[in-house]
Amino acid sequence: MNRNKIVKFSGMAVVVVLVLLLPTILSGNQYLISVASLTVINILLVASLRNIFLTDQISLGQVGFSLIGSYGGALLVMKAGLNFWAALVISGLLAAAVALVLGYPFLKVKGIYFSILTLMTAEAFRLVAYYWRELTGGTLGLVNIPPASPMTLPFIGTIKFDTPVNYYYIVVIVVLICLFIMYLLERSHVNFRWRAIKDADELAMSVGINVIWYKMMNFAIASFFAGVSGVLFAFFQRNLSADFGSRFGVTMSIYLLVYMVVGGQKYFAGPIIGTLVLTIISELVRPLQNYKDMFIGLIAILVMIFMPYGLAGLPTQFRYWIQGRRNSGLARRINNTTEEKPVSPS
Amino acid sequence: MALLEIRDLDKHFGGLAAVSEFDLDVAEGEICGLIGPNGAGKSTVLNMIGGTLLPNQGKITFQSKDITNIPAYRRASRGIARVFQRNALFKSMTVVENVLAASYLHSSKKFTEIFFKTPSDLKREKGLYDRAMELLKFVGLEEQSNEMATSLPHGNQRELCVAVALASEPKLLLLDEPLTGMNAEEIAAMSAIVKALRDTRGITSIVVEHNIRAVLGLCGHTVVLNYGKKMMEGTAKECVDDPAVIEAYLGAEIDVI
Repeated sequence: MNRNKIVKFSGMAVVVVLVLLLPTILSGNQYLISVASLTVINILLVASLRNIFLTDQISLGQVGFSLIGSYGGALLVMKAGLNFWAALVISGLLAAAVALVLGYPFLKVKGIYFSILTLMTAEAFRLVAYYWRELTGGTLGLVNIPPASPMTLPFIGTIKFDTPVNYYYIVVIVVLICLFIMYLLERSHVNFRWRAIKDADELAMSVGINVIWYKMMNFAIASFFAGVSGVLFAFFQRNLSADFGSRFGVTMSIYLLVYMVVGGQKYFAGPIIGTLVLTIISELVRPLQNYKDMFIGLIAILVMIFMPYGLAGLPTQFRYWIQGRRNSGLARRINNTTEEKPVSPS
Repeated sequence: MALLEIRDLDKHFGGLAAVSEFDLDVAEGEICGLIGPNGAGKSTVLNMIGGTLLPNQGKITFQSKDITNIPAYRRASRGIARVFQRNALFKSMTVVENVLAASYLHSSKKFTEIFFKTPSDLKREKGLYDRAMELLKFVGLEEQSNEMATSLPHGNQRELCVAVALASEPKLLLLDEPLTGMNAEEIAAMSAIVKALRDTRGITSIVVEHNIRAVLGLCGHTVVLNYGKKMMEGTAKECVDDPAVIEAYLGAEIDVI
């Protein structure tokens, strides 16, 4: 194992330990633990957005799939009497199935057209949830969602998840597992094909890759995780509302995009870092109230101008900067001693 | 029976007839030239053989099987590969990764490889890598295998395009203006590669090209297209010498020979 890997693994281990010890560190501050849970739930949603970006598509509809997860999960538990864990998986699969069906027409278009289609679809899902009074509670919202079902483990006994701290652990563990699967996917041959499609879809097609199927698969996988994130949210908030300003509205879609870009969409750690940093900042500037969003916007603009690779790309950017300085010093010295050569156009 | 048979092919974009009543037979082992002035419909024909466009009418038969309407990605497994007009490469990948990505049909990856790799998986991976290196050796790029594909000079990028197309082990290679923007040396190298493909691997090629001198050296059977219709068919020399072709192509006396 080389040094780079050791640094990476120890860094990951430190993060995992910190995350698991967070409730102790926050000494049981209920509010901050809730913020932490929500942040972790959002990280999964932003990561799902980035998963679609791996094929060079920007989805503005991930909130729609998380809505399917949220309402699906809550209703499966409340009306069908399912266990939380079963609801978690089934709702995720439901979101994936919807994405698979919609993916076929949607993924025939690219770029801004795909973004608009996903945006409108998410809005459509939201309006259905908002007005279907019998099923979702309509404008009143879905209330009284029970806490996640207790889990009986051998040796440890039964664990209840009715406190924010206990629920925080569910969120962290589920999200860590999901992120790990996404990480494996990204290192696998599947992402190698997604990359080929991102680079040159016509060429990918001509060498035999079923481009539309691989994109549909990508969309479905991302939507599965968006759905899981939605279920986690439903049992975190314990009541759901689908009005415009809610988590399922357009504003949230834009926020997810900002989180991803500020974090650095090229990097797996991008969504994690972006969501974390922006959440912490927005908690710190909470006293600004209505100006809070403006402040976040300003940060996003500054990051985009000065850190084109995002926060996760800072080490790379710094390395380039050092190299550039060193090279320009070298170039100066060479230019002092040799004649200036005409630059050939290429 | 010819390897590729095209009968009565029609393609129109709105009111514009890009190709009409086009027939073509390409025999196995041929290097078939497709020439004509700009906008004559050469690339459209190639796109319909490659599957990126579907014809409005007509029939394309490859190895006695109708492929007129099958999607582009399935034509690769039938044995049709394509070198695009622009240097279409996988931009974010190195030279060897480009060939590996194009070896999709032969990579036969299992679902479980996402999570772990067994020794036999690794062995297969090694086999694919060796095969990719062999293809790179064939086009003379094995030394640049770990460079970024986009950092290669234009001529080498074209050669890489050919290696990428070969990765799916085609029987028919469609080359869309393979010699554009090349210098004399690169043209000679590329022509040699196309000929070597026919001689050593039995690969049939269809070449769309503007460089008449190169077509004369490279192609046997040649077809001249004008306004979407076949104007002339014969050997390259016959086509180039035909007064009507000269008239259509250059509007004046031909001076390339």
